[in-house]
Amino acid sequence: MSQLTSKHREFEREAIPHMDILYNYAVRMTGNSDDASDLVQETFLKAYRFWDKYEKGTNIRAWLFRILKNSYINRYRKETKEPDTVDYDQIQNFFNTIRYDAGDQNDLQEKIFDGLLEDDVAQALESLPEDFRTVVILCDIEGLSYEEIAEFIDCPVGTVRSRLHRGRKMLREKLLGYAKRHGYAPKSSQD
Amino acid sequence: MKCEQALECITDAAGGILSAELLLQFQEHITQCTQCRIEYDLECATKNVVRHRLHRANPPAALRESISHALLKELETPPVTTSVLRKSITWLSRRTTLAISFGLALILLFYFFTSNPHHRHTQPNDGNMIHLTFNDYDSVLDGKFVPAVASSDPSTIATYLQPAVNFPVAFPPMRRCSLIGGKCTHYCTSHLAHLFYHLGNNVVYLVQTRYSELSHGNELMLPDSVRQQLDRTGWYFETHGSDCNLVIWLKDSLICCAVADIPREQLFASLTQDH
Repeated sequence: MSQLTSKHREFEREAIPHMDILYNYAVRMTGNSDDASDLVQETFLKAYRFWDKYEKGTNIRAWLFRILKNSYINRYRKETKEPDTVDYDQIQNFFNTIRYDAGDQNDLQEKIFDGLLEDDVAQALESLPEDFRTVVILCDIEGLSYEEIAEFIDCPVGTVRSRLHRGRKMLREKLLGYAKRHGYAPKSSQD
Repeated sequence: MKCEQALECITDAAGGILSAELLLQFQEHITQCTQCRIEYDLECATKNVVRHRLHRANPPAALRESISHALLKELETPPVTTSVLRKSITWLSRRTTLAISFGLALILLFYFFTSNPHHRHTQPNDGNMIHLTFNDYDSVLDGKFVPAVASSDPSTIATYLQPAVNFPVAFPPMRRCSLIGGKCTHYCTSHLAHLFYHLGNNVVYLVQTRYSELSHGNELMLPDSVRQQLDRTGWYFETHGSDCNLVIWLKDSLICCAVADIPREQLFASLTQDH
C-alpha cells in the first residue's frame, strides 16, 4: 500500500501540473468544455494505470499529450464531420484585391481580421484537419517550440514547420471567408 | 534570396526563429517582392489573430476535484478482479467484445497454422531486427506468440498498445488484409509493437519500433547494408525459401517489418497504398 501511495504522490506531483495544457488542447479539439473535461479525466486515469510504463526523465508532457491525442481519436474521430469547404475562387479574388490594398502588416490585420470574433476564430480552427489543428494550437496558443511539438506528435521538426505553414494557410482562408461573409473584408473585395 | 527560398523562410520568420543571416536576406527580399511580403504579412496576421483572439481555457476547479477523486478511487481499488466490476457499462461491453474477438482470433489463428504447413527459419537471437522478425513469425505460426488484444478495429488496438509503447503505432493500409490483433513487448530497452493480419489463408505479421532504437548502439540492430538501403530507398526486401517474404520500410520515425508466406509482390502491394 505504501508503494501505491508513493506512486500516487509521484503521479500527483509530476503529471497533474500539466492539466492546463491538456485541457486547453482538449477544448480546442472537442469544441466544448464538458467533452474536454471527460477527455482530460480519461487521459489522467489511463496515465495513472500505466504510470509504470512511463520512462522517468523523459518528457512527461509529451507522454500525457500522446495519451490524450489517442483517447481523442478513439472517442471522436468517427463522429468528426468533414470540415466546411470554402470557395477558393472567391478567396483567390479576395487575395488579388488585397495585394493592392494592403500597406503594412498591422494594416492588413486590421483590415481583414480585426472584425472577427473569438467564436469565428475558434470555429475556423476547429474546422482544420486534426494534424494541422494540433500544431497550430501547440505553437500559436500554447507557444511551444517546434522541437517540443515534434516530440509531442512524434514527427520530425520539418514536418511540424510544414504543417504549421499549411495549417495557418488553411486557417487564414477560412478566416477570410468569414470576414467576407460578415462584411468585415474591404469593400473592394466584396464586388 | 529568391521567392522560392523566401516562401520556405516565412514560417520561421513569423515565429521569430530565423537565423540572423537568413533574416537579413529575407527582409531584403520582402521589401522588394510584394507577393512574398503579402504572404509573410498574412502568415503573421493569422498567427496573431489566433494568439490574441483565442485565450487559453483554464480547467474548471470541478475537473481538478473529480480527477483527484477518481485517482483516489483507483488507488483504493484492488488491482485485478474487483476493479473490472467497478468499471462502467461501456468498459464492460468493450471488454466483452475484446474477449469474444480474442477467442475468435485464436480460433482463426489455429485454423491458419494447422492448414498451412510452414517451414521454420530459426535465426540466431542476436538482436538483429530481421532475425527477430523471422523468429517471432515462426512463433506466431506455431501459436506460441499470439495477440494480447484481438480486434479488427485499429483504434481499439491502438488504445491498448499506445500507453505501453513510446511511439504512435502505425497502421499501414494493408489492402485486402484483415486486422486480427496486436501485442506489445520489449527487446531489452526497446519497445516493440506487433500487429497480426490475415490475408486469405495466410497470416501477415508486422513488428514496428522507433528507427532510432536501432541506431544508437542499442541491443536491437540492423546490418549496415540493410540500413544503407533503407536510408537510400526507404525499403528493404528479403526472401526465405520459395515464398516467405520480409519487407522492411520506414514510416515517419518508425521502422516497420512485415513478413508473410506470400509472394513478395503481393505483400508489397498490400503495404504500398498511401506510401
